[in-house]
Amino acid sequence: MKQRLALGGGVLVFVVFAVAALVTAPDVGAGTWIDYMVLPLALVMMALLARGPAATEGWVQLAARLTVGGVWIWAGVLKLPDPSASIESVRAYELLPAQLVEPVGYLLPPLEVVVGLALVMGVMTRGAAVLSGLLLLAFIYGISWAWSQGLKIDCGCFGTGGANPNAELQYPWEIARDVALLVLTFFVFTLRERRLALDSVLFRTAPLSPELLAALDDDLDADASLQPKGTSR
Amino acid sequence: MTTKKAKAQARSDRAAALLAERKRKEKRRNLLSIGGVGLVMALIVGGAVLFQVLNKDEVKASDAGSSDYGLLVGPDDAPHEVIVYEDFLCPVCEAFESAADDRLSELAAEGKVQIDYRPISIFEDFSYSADSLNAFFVVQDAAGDDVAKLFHDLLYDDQPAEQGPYPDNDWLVAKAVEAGAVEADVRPGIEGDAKADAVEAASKEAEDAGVGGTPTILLDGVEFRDGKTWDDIAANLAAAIEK
Repeated sequence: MKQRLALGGGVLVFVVFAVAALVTAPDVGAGTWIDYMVLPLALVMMALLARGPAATEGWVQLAARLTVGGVWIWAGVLKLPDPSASIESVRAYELLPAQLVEPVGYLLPPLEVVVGLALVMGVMTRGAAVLSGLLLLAFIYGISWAWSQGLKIDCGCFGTGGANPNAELQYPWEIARDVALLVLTFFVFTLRERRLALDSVLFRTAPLSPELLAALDDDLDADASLQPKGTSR
Repeated sequence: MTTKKAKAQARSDRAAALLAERKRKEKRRNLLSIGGVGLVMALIVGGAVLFQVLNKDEVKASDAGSSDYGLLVGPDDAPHEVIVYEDFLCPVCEAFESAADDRLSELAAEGKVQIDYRPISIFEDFSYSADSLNAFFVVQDAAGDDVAKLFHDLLYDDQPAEQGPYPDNDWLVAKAVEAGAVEADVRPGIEGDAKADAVEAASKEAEDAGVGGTPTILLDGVEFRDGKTWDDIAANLAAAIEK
């Protein structure tokens, strides 16, 4: 099952990047280094998941967490110092009603940083993955919308924002990057095996108390036909 | 037999109860952890937003007409005053200008508003920002406010991309002449950065007033930014003036 998901994810990532390259050819250098970095990282992770030994699952989960979380922290930190630029980036999409532009402009940078930190540290990993996925879906929608409306704006993903004459060469790369991050987010959510995650400290299962162990032992010795109900696990 | 059975049953019940108790405790602990961590995260995000909102400088611009580096359009006794801080290189300013300028000029001509255009240079890393502002002050000095306003409009009509390439001094001179200035009066000043001090002083004055970005628009002393797009903001501003 995991192999199939990894294969599907890998194919999806490969296809969106191939489409981006085709659409922007011959200016395939129009994306940013983050756009290009995400592609090989995602493909290596998918390959490891599909072909590697079972023990790699936890490490793939860690690599996916660090990649997605790192990108969120980077994106948020670059925007934090200039809230008014963040607000204008949001307004440039011409998507949100006037009353929502400022609140969303203020909210996004710190939210991105916190989601990123949660993913990197592995705190409430699944919850953070859900938020990360929702944000990415919203951004993919927003960028596609701007593209379809013929707006020429910088996505504002990593600071800057505003008008950008080269926008149409960058939209495909931005969408490809966000789809790859979405696939990685999905794997952060799905893979239950964890490495170096604070969650395993936070939500560890307490060892059985001696008293309970003794009681269970007695029980097993007593009579095999009298297994306690509901404790067979 | 029965006693043995009963004994075993009792043990079994006790074990079940202990296990259930343990499960309940674990569940409670996990819920508390989730709640606690979630709360901490929400507090961090909320705190950051609150910090930024509270730290937002309120723009306290001097009254229209009181700056040494502005351009006044419209009568002094107009019921409303609008102050516009803008950078000739700023794309959003261009969006605002193309959406609002004609309507604002009409309203000023009708005596409904006095507009104080305060061009500044806020894109410090980009040479055109300061060069165009220097040219604006040179033109205003040499040819007066009406020509300078037209020069201002022409610069926005033909704004270069933020990242360049930028037009040269000859282009700025040509625009000034197109606006009605005499070439011999403006060329030396444009080429020699004659108004570099004014460029710096105007930008400093705006910064001291709390202007953090361009365009910053004030209607009767209060920052105006109401709209889904800058087209909307321009329309809402005109509507607010006419009210």
